[in-house]
This record gives sequence, structure tokens and C-alpha cells, in this order.
Amino acid sequence: MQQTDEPVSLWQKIRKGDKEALFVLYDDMYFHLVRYGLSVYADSDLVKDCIGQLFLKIWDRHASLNDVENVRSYLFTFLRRTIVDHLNAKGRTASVMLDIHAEEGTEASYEEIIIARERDEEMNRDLRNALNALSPKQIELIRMKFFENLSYKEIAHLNSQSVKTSYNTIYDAIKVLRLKLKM
Amino acid sequence: MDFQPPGPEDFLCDESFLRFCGGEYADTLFWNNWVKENPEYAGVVDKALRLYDMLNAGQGNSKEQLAAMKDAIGRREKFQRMLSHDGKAKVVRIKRPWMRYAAAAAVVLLVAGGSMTYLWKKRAATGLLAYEYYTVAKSRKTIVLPDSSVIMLNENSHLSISKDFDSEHREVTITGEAFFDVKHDQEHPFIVHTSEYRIRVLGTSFNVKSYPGSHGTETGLISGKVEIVPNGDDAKDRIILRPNEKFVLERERQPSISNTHSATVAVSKGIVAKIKLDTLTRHAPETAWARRKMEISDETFEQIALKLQDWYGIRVIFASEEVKQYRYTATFNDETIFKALQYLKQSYPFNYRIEQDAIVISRS
Repeated sequence: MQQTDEPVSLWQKIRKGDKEALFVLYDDMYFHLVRYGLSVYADSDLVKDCIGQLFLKIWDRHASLNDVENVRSYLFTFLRRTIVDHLNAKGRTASVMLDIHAEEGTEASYEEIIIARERDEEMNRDLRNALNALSPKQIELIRMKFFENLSYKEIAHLNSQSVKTSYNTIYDAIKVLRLKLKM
Repeated sequence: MDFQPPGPEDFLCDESFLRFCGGEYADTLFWNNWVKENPEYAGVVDKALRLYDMLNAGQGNSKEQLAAMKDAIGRREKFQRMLSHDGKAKVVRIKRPWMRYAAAAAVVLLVAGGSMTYLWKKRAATGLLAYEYYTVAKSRKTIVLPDSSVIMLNENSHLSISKDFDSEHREVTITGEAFFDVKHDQEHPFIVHTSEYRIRVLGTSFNVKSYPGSHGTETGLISGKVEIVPNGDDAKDRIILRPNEKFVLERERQPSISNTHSATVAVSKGIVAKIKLDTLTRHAPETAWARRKMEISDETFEQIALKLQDWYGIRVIFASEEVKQYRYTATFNDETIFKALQYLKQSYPFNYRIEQDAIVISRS
């Protein structure tokens, strides 16, 4: 039933010039691409910029696009190349890339991403310590709240717990974090 | 009683504060004001914002990014149509449209003053400091400004609200088409910038049409008084419009003989013309796009709200479950959304409050 929304069929539609399909694909893939992009190079403004360019490029040449079997990994590879080109154009060589995951096509974990974004050495160390002080469950809930932008209601539902419990868990976790970060 | 002063976690667990972090206008207004009134918490709020940026990994809002991309594609296509019309289609580079949004988010923090230095400094480099609204094909959007002026954006349009817009500094920039209903304030003129001229307004309603690549720019005045000031101005070239007059600036493309690029130069010619009102409704055809005939027969307010939301492009939120169930029967002939709400109110009272991009309905 959901067949029409599969990335592959969206891709087919884009090749035929269906702009709406491009937007749907963008919407479906945005967060995956941001996360993958951040694991290639942990600069969110640059990554967002590159994702935009990537989709504009796809649209520009939609008529001459090839058939793609795995749209997701195609987009990941394409994004990675866009980021590298971008860095080279800016005079920063690809050697400054973080490349948390050497392997192409895998997204870094939430903790890896937020740690990599902290360029300040002391802050970076403090953040590692702070995350170590939290339970996996706490980190998971923080990720849902701040990274996935879910509501307390959604988080409670996904974790089969009450809204109050979700709220309290997140509240306590942030308090621990900011104390460890000396904020 | 032991009173604990709020820490960053108290702010970060608040849904409204998180919407502010995400750049939502209504919440931004609220939190900017709040910090102004409670300067002692500026430092804590600053820390909360810093933590938010860290935990969110600076992802931004996918909906806004998507709107920016739609806009970029729309502009690119329009540009390409223009070029291919001239018989020389080429690849056009759009200059980093993505940064607009980063910039829009920066404004949020800038307005709040020196306290929220972190995110603001980080994003200031992108330069553009304004709230941006985009509409794509077949969509429209109603925006209510802090001075309670109302702007309805037609499709494929872009509205930029200057960063320091408030009741004293009222300036916006429009590309595309919009209907303005400006709050009267003799002291503080409302200024609308277009690519060719600016419109100085003292309180009035009017329609502006200024699509890039079209044949010209048109400003039609419905009521009140506006002044058209050419860009790069010269006081003596000003034109004053009276109600039911419109100013039409035509762009004529003339081939330039200068060199091999065979570029065209735009020659502009402005005229003031009468608006021809519809003989039956007395409405100006220029604003027909912003109005709509709507039949409602014994429907709940909740159902009606969906229709209004759909047509006018503004969110309708109910603060009361009870009001949702009110039932109305009505026929609207070409009304703006506010007229429509006024009529409904008369037959079964409720209150409504307007926020930037939402109308909040509550019990009277």
C-alpha cells in the first residue's frame, strides 16, 4: 500500500519531472541526510547548505538521472561528494574532515555527532564526561526531545511511559549535563 | 518554602521555549519580551540556548529548509523560463539560498539584546537579518505583524520583514503579490519596498504585485492614502495615490546594441490609472485573489476553521474545546478572513487573538 512512497518510486517520479516527488523525498530524507552529513563533517550550517545544493542539482538534471536501486546510499554518497567539493572550494582540504565513520553510508550515533561538533577541547572533554554520567535511557530521551524534536506525548508513547516520567527523565538529565558542563 | 531560581533545564523543558529555539515567531516575541522584562535571567537563558544548540546539533527546522528549497527551485525555474524566452537558456546559479534561514533564526536572538550572544555571533556572519516568508504555487499565507497590520501573501511570493520591525519601525520587502491592511499610525509610516520603488503608507489597504520577470509592478489602493517613492529616490518624483487608483510601472525590454551579449535593458514607464470596481460587489478585481465566496451550512466551528485555514493560509487554534462545537450557517461573499470572523462572532460570540501566523480562538 505504501509502495508509492518508497524512495525508488519517488526517484522514478523525479526522473519524469514530478517536482512534488522531489519535495516528498527531501522531507523523508532530510534528517537522515543531516545526520549522515554531520558524521562526514560536523558543521551543521555547511551540511544544511550542501543538502540544499544536492537537491537543486538533482532537480536540475532530473531528466538525465540514472535509475538508482538504493536511493538512500546514492544520496549519502552524493552528499559526501558535495561536502568534499565544498570544503575544497573553501580552501579547507578534506583532511580536516572528521569522518567518524570510515565506512560510507552509515550515520554516526547521536553522541558521536554532538561530541564532534564541539571544537573546543575543554568543552569536548566535558561533554564526553557529561554523557558518560548519563544512562543510555536518558541519552535516548534527550535525543528524542532535542534531536528528533518530538513532543513529550510522543516520547511517552514510544517509551510506554507517562508524560510526567518522560518529562522528569529529560529534566534530570539536562540538569546533570549542564552541571558537568559547568554551566 | 525553599525557592529554587530557574536553571537552564527549566527553560529547556518548556515547549514554548523550545519553539522559540526553533525560530517560531509567536514564541520568539514572547521570549524576547520576557528577557527584556527579566534581565536577571538573561545569563541563564543564554546558557539554555547554548545547550539547545549543542543537543540539537544545529539541525534547524526541516520545514523551513524545505520551504527555502521550494522557493529556490521556483525562482530558478522562473529565471530559466525568462532566459529560454529570450532563446538562450543557461544554467543559473542561485546564490546560497540556504543561508537565509540561518539568518532568519539569528534575528530571533538579535532582537533580544546583548544577552544571547552565543548563537547570534555564530550566525551573524550570514548577514541577512530579517524574517522571511515564502509561498509556493497554489498556496497563500496570512501574516499578522506585531503592530497588528495584516499581510496576505499570494502564491509564489516572498515577504521579508526587517529585523527591527516594531510599532515604530515598520518596513517590509515584497517580491510577488500581497494584500496589505496596514494599521493606521500617522507618526510612523509603514514602508513597503519593491524592486522598483517603495510605498509609504499611513494606514490603509492596498494590493502590490511585483513578480520578478513579469511585465511590471502594480500597486492598487483600496482605501486610505499611499505615496510611491522611486528607489534611489528623488522627492519630486513622488506620486500620491488616492483610493481606487493604481500605479502601474511597466518594464519594457529593449534590446541593447552595445555588445555581443545582446543583453536587454529595462525601460520603465509609470502611470496612474483608475481601478474598475465590480459593478455588483464594489470590490476591486485586483484583490479578488485575496477574497472568496464560501457557503457554510450548519457546520461546526472546527470544520469551518479547517476551511479558513486552508484558504487563507493561517493556522487557526482553539483555546477552548467548547467553542469548537459552535455551529454556524453563513454565506461569505469575497470576505477577508477577519471580516469573516467578525460576522461569525456576531451570531454566536467568541474571542479571537491574532498572532504572527495563527489565530487563536477562545470563549467570549
